[in-house]
Amino acid sequence: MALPNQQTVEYPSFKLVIVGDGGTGKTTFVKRHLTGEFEKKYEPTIGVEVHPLDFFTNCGKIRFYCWDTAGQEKFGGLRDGYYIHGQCAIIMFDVTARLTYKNVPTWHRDLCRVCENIPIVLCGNKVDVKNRQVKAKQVTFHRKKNLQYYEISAKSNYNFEKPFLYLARKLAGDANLHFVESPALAPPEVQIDIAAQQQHEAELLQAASQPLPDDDDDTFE
Amino acid sequence: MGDADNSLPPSKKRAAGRELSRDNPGLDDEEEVPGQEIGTFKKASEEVLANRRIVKVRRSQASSAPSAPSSNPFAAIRLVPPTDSAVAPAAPAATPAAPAATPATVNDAEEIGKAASEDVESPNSVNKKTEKAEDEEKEGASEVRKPEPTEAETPKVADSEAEKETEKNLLAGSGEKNTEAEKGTENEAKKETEKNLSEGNGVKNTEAEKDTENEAKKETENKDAATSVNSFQQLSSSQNAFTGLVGTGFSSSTFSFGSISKTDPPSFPSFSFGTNGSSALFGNTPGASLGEKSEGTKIPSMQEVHVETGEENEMAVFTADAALFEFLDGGWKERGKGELKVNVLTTETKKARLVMRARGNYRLILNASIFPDMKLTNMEKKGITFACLNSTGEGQNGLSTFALKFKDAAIVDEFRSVVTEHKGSSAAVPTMKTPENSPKASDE
Repeated sequence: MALPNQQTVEYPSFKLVIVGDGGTGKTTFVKRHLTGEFEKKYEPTIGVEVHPLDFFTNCGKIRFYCWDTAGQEKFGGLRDGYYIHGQCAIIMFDVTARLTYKNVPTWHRDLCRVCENIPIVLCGNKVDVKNRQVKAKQVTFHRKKNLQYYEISAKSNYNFEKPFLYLARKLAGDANLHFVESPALAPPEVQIDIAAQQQHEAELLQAASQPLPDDDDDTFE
Repeated sequence: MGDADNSLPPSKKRAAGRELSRDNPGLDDEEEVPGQEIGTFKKASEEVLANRRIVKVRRSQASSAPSAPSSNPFAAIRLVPPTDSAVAPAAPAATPAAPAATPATVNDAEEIGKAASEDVESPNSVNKKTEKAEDEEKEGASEVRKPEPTEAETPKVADSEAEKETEKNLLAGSGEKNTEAEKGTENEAKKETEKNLSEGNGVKNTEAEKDTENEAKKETENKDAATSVNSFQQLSSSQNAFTGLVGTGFSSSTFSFGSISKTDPPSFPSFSFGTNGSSALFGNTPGASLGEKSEGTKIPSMQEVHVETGEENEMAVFTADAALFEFLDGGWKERGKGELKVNVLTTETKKARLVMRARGNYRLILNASIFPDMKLTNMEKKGITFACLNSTGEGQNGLSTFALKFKDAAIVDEFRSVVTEHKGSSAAVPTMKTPENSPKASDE
């Protein structure tokens, strides 16, 4: 279900609701997919933010309208009012904070009260952190409720596409669906005028002096 | 204190009405509004039984006179199954009355008809009448049944019965039961004796009955809706948003539900309040959500399609794992990690470009032509930066500064040499074509 001001697309699109306690990494996870960026700064989401997220599959293009909802109660906005017409969902918790896992049943209950029988993925985020509070063995909620569980890390990109892949398969009713390379059309010729080039030289110098983010020693693990 | 106040009248729950009336200084409004509500409320509770039974009577009539329900917008809707079962016994009860009354003289029939029409035309006492009429119907049916066996032998008995009925009707001030009986008599009378008067009466009666039917059915509609609300209230938990509506008064809640059933009758029986979610928002669009869900859970046409990468006519001359960063607002933003390729067209032009997709979701993150003036600058620790025109689909396209980070410095050098080798080939001036490679590679 798209927002009124969002353009509709001719390929299949689904409303994906992302819920979970504040600070578990919902927005960072969405942003990671959207721009590739890993946002370290914590800015609580107010109400909801909706982002279209396209994937190319062997069955064509699909779109998730990601409803990235506020985890913090005080910024909840319409709360479960955002769940209406949700067609799939991600419940996220933080494996380094036990309380966020304890609240998963509440999120699940609220979600199922509005959206019956939608595919739901449970995501334990931040598995890159060394000292976890919730071990993989201790995560059992998904078994009772027939959810899919993935351990993910928005920081290291571990399993970060798996939740979307699972939901896409469920929604398409095709267990063999997989993501494919998005087409790279021929890029335009570069027409550079000297002025722009010179103006850019300055930025290049500045950029070259700026060190690249150093947090990713594990980039090529 | 506050609790005691709240507990007193049920109309207290209508907080909006109260607040509005407080804003308006006029005290009359404040008194009137709840007063009316209470009045209608009480009326409704009293009429429930009587009107429902009346509907049974009317239904039997409706079946005999199909023209009547066509004018009635509610005729097609059957909310409660019991009414159907109730119609069946009522119908035979009414039909025997007709043959019983046929032997009666036409004059009697006329009187009855007049009485009925007069009574019906005064709609103020409809409810009272219907109650009494219902009682009379029972009596009339029982009375008629008794003489039935002896009907052929002694028509006078039937006459006397009919006369008794008319007397009762006159006394009771209600001819509704008689109109039924009389309809039969009218029809019979038409066949036997063609009298204009009796026909006229018949028309009047049927018309009058249409009105009363409509009224009665409307009322019973409300009753039915009210009863369904009641049952719903029992089913639902205290959390349910609809319980508040019920508490505020039947008039508003029943009408709202009635409108739903009117606009979308087929959805009404399938829509069970008890099983659905408790949120009022969900309840507002039950049909839409159900429909959407059934559509959304499965994509009807998700078939395997031919996948094009856009690189079909290209050859990768360099591939390596890398991390891509973009320089924005004075800082580096990561754009993703994945396999970087330097692709060269297999056609004559030998145009080269950089292509990079994120690992996992295969999203295109870098798609830029390599151009002759492209300047590559090494960075500390396995990095290299350059400016290019990245076109990954949507978004603004302008010259922007990117950086690639490789596993080790050796790969950086290899990348640099490959790019340098191919950056001239695309935009090379034709005259310089032959000597271009060696000087370009050396000038760095």
